[in-house]
Amino acid sequence: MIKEKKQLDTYMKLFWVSAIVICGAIAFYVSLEARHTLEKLGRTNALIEEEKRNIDILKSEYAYLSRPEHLENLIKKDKSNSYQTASFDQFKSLKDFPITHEIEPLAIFSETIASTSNIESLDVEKAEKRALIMSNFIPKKKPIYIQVEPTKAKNNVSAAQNKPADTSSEFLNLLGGLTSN
Amino acid sequence: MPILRQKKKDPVKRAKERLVLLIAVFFIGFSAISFRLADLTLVNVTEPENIELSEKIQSIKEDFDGFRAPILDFRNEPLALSLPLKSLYADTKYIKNPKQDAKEITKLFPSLDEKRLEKKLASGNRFVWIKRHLSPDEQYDVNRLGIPGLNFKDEFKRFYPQKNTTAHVTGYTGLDNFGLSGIERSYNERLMTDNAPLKLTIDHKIQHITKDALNTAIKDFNAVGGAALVMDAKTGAIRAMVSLPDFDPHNPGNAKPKERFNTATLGVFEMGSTFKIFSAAAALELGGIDLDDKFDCRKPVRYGRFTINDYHAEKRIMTVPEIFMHSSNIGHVLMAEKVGTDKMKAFYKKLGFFERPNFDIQELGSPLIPNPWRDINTATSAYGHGLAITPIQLVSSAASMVNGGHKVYPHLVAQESIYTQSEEEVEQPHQTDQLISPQTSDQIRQMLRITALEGTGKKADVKGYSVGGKTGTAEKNKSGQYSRDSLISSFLGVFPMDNPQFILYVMVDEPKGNQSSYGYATGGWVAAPAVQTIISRMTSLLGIPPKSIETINNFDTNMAAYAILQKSKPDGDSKR
Repeated sequence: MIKEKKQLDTYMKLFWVSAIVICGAIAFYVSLEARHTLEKLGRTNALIEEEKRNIDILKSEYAYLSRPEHLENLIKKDKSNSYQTASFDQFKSLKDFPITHEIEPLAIFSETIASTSNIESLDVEKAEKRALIMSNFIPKKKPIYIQVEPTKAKNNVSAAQNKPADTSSEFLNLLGGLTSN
Repeated sequence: MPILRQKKKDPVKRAKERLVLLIAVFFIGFSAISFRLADLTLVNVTEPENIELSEKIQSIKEDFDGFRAPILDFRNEPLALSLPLKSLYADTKYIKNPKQDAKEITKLFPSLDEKRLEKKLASGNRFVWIKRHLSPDEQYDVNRLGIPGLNFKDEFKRFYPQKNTTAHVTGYTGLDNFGLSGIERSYNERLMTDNAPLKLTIDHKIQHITKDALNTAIKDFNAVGGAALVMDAKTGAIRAMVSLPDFDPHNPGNAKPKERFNTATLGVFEMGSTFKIFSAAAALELGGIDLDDKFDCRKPVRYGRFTINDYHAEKRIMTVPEIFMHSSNIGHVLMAEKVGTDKMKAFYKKLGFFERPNFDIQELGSPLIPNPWRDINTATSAYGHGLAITPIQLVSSAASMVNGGHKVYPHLVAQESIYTQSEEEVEQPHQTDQLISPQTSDQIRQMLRITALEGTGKKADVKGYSVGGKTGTAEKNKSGQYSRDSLISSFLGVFPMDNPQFILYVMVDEPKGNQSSYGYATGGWVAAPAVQTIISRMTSLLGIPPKSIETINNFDTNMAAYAILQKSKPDGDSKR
């Protein structure tokens, strides 16, 4: 009986020793992991800081090299004379151009007008801007500014809306009316 | 006792138990060491460069005191940035041969004094600065010398990518990164404590265009300097602020005091005829004067021993718009007389001409006000003499005259944090006061437009943009005497006049007439073309399309009714 009890005591001791060893190992592992994660975080932060510095250096380099004064000096040195200062008179009305090109960007403009259910609420200025952006697709050297008088636009749209839905020719007619004045 | 005996263990057994315990302790210890060893050698290998980087960043963080937040322009382009650079110092304990080392170092940096450096290196101090802010090439050269005791410290240096162009706006910092002028000075604490970028209202492209146009005017007319401003007429946001001559903010120590002087904010001038905008506004707002009222401008006005004449003498009876567009001194004096000294003075005070303005930079001039203020001062101030103000005051007050009458507060800082506010919020005008009625403002706008169309400011007009403006030519007061050879020639432009967006001011200091101007050095010849250049370039830059001629003409004909048709009418019931 006593022998069995002693054996049990020994097992219990072994169990506790093992438990302590395992717990210690786990605690040690967790602490190591935490320390390691902290180090990793520190390194990542350090890398972020370093990258920020590098980005700042690149930004300043880019800003320095692309400063208008510098670019202008380069342009002056360029003998081919292919760069010129942008001028306000580069904005032109479509009235100044005979329309012989792909009408696609203008269709955007007319589409905007045609899709407007309430013609009174039509924002011609917005439609113009949209068309202006799209006009960059026209293979021309200069952008085109489309000048439209709101009253004319409304009249033409009203007339166009009464016609059958042959959109392509309708838009062309519509635009012809809009831009011929 | 028997019990005690029973408890006493066999020594062999006890020794065994202790041995087991000892083995367990050693086992735990060795397990831990093995575990850590495996962790370090097999699982998480720390690369040497990462350790180096960590140390480097740690050193940057230690020197974080020198870091300043970036300053950005309205397009988010950097105007000022802090860049990390190396600075060279010596731990003189390790310097074995100060004389030889000083000689070698000064070969690399000829600006250093060899004798002084030798003395420093022989001082025995553990920390002695040798050269601050080295370039990477210079650092490499120092390393190649292989002198023990030479070390590098990470420091920040302020870099201004736009160089001279924005020097008077950003200002500059000292060697220890402390703001000494401009935004760097006035926002020093903000820039040193908050890392978020500080966004300005300045557009570096418009700034360049403005500087270019002003520089051309200065060169063409052989002037000593000048200033130019571009402001949002509704919000007071400054889009460009130029003062010439300027300086390189990286080396402010090399700049002359004249170059560091910000004429746009510090310069106090008698503004000449541009000031007539305010006397005309006062007449229309407070004097009970209408546009079709007439004043006899045929004879000079006399105040004691002083005689007030017209520069562009028409010598006839004129309506208010005519007086304005021909810039008649006599006409404005007569109008000011009708308003009265008290009201005129109160109006100027309301506009803020009697005190130092509030602005985002601290380099601000205080106005010069006649003391005591007599009737003659009311008369002279009506055509811009006797009362001296800064260009920034003139522009912001003129903006209020054309924007519907709302007082605008000039500002350079767009917002405190670019992450918290949207662009729309930034563009909201500051809280405003009504200075004049919208009707008076409309009349001023029309008179400015007619001046650019028919009057002294023709050279500022840009077809399709409805430019309005007022010329100004003031004689400088030198040692108590007005000098006819030393002029301040200026032009104040506004566009588009039906709904003013921008207000521009170009001022040229002491221009000399040239062949192209037939010897004239007036505002209309000198500054108006510069304003025209700025407008024509900035409209294409900002994508502002020209308006149809029809719209502009509709606007102009209203004024033409007063300004041009009156010419043909006989001299009638003039006010004087």
